[in-house]
Amino acid sequence: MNILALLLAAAAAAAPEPEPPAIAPALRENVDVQLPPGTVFPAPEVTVVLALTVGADGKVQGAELEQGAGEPFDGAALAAASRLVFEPARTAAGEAIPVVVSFRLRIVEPPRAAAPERPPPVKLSGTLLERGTRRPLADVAVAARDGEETLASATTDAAGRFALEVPRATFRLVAVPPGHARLDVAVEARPGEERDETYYLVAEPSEYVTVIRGERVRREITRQVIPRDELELVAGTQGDTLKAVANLPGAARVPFGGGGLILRGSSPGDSAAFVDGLEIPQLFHFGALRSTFAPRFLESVEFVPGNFAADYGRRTGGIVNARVREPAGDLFRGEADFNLYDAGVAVEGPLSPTWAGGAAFRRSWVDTFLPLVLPKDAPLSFTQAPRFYDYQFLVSGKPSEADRLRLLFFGSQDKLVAILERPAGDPSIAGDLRSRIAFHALQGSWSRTFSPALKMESSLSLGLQEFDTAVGADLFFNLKSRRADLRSTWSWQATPAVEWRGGLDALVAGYDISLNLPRQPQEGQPGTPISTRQLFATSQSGTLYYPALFTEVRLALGRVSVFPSLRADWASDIGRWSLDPRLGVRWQVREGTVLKAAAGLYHQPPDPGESAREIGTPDLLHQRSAQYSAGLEQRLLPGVDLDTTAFYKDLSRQVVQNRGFGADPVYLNEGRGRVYGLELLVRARFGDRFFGWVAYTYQRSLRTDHPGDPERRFSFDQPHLLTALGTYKWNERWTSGARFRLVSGNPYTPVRDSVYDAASDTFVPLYGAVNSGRLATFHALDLRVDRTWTFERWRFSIYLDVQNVYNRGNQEGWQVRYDWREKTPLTGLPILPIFGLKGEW
Amino acid sequence: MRARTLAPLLLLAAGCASDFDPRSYLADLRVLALVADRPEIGFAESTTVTARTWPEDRAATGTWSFCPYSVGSSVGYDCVVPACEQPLPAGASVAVAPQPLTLAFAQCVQALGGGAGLPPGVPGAPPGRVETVVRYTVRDAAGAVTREAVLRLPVTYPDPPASPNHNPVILRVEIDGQAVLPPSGGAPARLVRGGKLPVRAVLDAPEITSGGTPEGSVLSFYATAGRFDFDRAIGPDGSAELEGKELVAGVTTAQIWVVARDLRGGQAVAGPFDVEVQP
Repeated sequence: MNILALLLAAAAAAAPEPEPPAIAPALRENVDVQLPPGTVFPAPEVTVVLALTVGADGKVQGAELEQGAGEPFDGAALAAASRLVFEPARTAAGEAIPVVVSFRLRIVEPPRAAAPERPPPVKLSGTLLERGTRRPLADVAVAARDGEETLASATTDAAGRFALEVPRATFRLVAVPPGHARLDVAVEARPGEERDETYYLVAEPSEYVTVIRGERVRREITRQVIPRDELELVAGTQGDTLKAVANLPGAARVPFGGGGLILRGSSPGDSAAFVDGLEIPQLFHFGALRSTFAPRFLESVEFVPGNFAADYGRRTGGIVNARVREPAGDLFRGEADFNLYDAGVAVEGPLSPTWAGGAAFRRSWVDTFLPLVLPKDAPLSFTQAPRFYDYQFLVSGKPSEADRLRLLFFGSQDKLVAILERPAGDPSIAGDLRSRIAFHALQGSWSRTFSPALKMESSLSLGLQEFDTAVGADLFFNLKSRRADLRSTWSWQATPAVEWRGGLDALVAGYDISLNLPRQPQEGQPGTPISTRQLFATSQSGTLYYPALFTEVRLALGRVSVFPSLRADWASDIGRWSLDPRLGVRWQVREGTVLKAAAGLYHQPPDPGESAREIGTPDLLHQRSAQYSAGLEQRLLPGVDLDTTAFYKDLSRQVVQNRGFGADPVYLNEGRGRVYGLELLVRARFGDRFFGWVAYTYQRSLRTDHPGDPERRFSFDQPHLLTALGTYKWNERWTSGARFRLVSGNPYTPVRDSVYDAASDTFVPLYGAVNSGRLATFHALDLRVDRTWTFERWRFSIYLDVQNVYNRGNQEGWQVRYDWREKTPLTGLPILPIFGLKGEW
Repeated sequence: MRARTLAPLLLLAAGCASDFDPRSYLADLRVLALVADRPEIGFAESTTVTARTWPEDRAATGTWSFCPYSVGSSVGYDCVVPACEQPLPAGASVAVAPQPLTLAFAQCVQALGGGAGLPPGVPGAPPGRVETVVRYTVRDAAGAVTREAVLRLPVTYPDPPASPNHNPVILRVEIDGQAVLPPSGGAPARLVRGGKLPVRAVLDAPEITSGGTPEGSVLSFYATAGRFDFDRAIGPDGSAELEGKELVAGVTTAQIWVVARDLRGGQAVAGPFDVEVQP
């Protein structure tokens, strides 16, 4: 500490000398008195009296303490004295002489440094959002730091908001939200400044991110749920809902161009797809390239290939149920998607504090590019090339804590008009070809929690379906159907161990139909030229009623849950009731291990075309299926689960066509069948870094059409189905996935020879045993790569989905010569790259 | 009736490219038509059915049979009791009289059943209208190739049809703009490699069906050399182009046929018309 001591005055008292100086020494230069740092002055001024020997040259030659003030002042004074310089004392003659003087050295306390004034704090508030999606990052610790020192900290709320008062103007703001890039930014503010900042943090894939989804009580022993984020990325499906679930065990591969769900060896018409429990009238657009319900507003898709719960009926196969999510209630969000098939746009956002809404629209491009690829001399010319669109409007709200309401309006239309001037095969298929398939459905849903034990979910759907198709002037099929679907489900948790569920599932369908067509071949009936078949004409209107009641009890007996249920259905077209008792059991042997079994009866009314009085047989019975299954669920590793199920189905009363002359009655309930198999699924999900599964199904599906007939293969009997797929998110920019499928070829009915039908100029095939041939094994590899650019408020991605990468010529049937006497394999899609662009905000 | 997509139908209708010989190219034994002089008759009436084949000389070697009740096209027009299908005299043409043939059929069925009654599917009395089946079988000269053809012959019972169907009438055929039916006497047209011969046929005005719409008219073209751009044409005035491709060395003459159909059983054949081939 360097303290400036001021020598204010020096009072010298002359020592008695023989010859006293005439002039006393005078101080010429001040010096600093060096005091140790932190010296405390007892008084503002301290005086030390010294005896100084001042030489003739004016320098101090010696110093002694005469009257001290204590240390450290005395030592400091002596040290300073040696550096003092005086004008020397002089005699009267003016001669400089040494003298000893008494010198009072006054040490004045230096003025205290003013205490630094504390600056006002910086008030920093802000929002942490996920970059690209603007999703708030909640419960994230945010800190203002200066080196290792934490100046202030806070935790973000549900909106990602935080507020800090930082006592310094310069600091670093640090946050480490899980699954996202670290926030570490320098902040330079003015003292007292108030700031509000938004920070966008990049989501980084992590295998440690755990997504917890509340699972509904499992009533079906085999039910797979695919969340939307997986649906979008499965290679080879272009993000399509139903094409993705077809990769699960129990689902047969549908040939290119064919639609429908073929679950556990059942015909496509025996299974159905639902949107939150209400049936979708039409599953796929033209050519089955796209399902009619776009995935934008989907939360997940549930897949139950058999032994489904009593909530569902009128089907003997399986079900797929798409669950609709709530529209975004925080911000206005949207999406625009453009790919080879179609283009779509969607928006959603809050309408009020308790209501949110959204809308999506998609339209195909096929009509744009098809004319470009069709040769000019093609026999088919399009007036209106195949075109489809679909849409969804969604409004959802929570007017009270106990109530939730939702309105969903969705629909689809496929249309084409063409002229076939030069029929190549059947001359009946010529002239104007017209097809329009449309449906519109308005669905209102209300769920209410009366108490923690009593809940209700109800929905009513009003729909209009139109199916108009015509070939030339003679062949047409026009159907207009107005339908109302009502579903109300009540659940009551009577005790912790007993839960009751029950409700109503009703369908009322009014129809106007007119047609002039031959009867459609049934499953297992090989086709013949339309020209050679008898035409049936009818025009009628009517209303069909299919009410049903169902009840189910869940008994939780320790680790065992038992689900007995009963469903009663009425079908007005055949005027019959059906009663379906069902039972499911789940036994949690230990953590991660579940044994399960189910048995049940399932009834399905005949197709209205089979039971219609004018063209069918009105006194048919329900088709019946007794289903049995048993299996094991085992957690293999964290994130890796095994699910395996063995099943058996006994089919009876299957509707088959009377093959006698005159065919009266037209249809009979003589068909039987059996389906058995084993499904195995190993499914893995590691955070949002990876998902994938390996699905293998062994199944046989066999039919006996009439008593005494030999048992034959079902038309989609595919004994072996193997699907392995996976998608890996390398980082926030790159994602890639692959799918490999290896599937037994479909059966086919070989042709022995043909007969020339002179009236129609067609050759009628003479078939061998039904489905006694089998097409070549199908295998294909599909790859998908996504590249995403993430901006602060939106994301842009491009993807390339390449189907059939190694260009395998998979056989989907036979291409035959006009007289069926020569054939060559008809192969499906060659290598097909699908390129797409997508923007999300 | 469940909705089915039309796309696969369209693909089939449009025809997929293949390496097969087209329908219009005659390479081996073929039945071109079975022409009944009365394509729709009453139960007590009769009609004469004539086979038109290529090569033409094989027609006379064919055999015939008749079945009053066929199960339909799904089983190749098998007779409901195959063993009782009634044989008819061999030859290029045959007379078909439903009444005696049906009676013989019924007697056969009774005999087979040993008096146990009619088997399922065999009606006790003829229905008001039924498509009987006239079957024609022919072999090539070597006996190695067999072709079977059927004519669905509508028969009404007990009365004859009120307005029976008639065969279409081919009024005119032109090859390369020159009438060959009726013959104009000009030199035969010439098909050269890479060239094209337009072939046009014109029918008499089509009948009006009971539904009030004109009956369908389909024109089928056939040739023994070259390839037609389209096998068929729709309507009473249709044409196709015979292209000079895939011509076989040494073949200097080709024959062309045109067959007209009303898709109700009525048929008419024009040809053969010779054209010179210059490979």
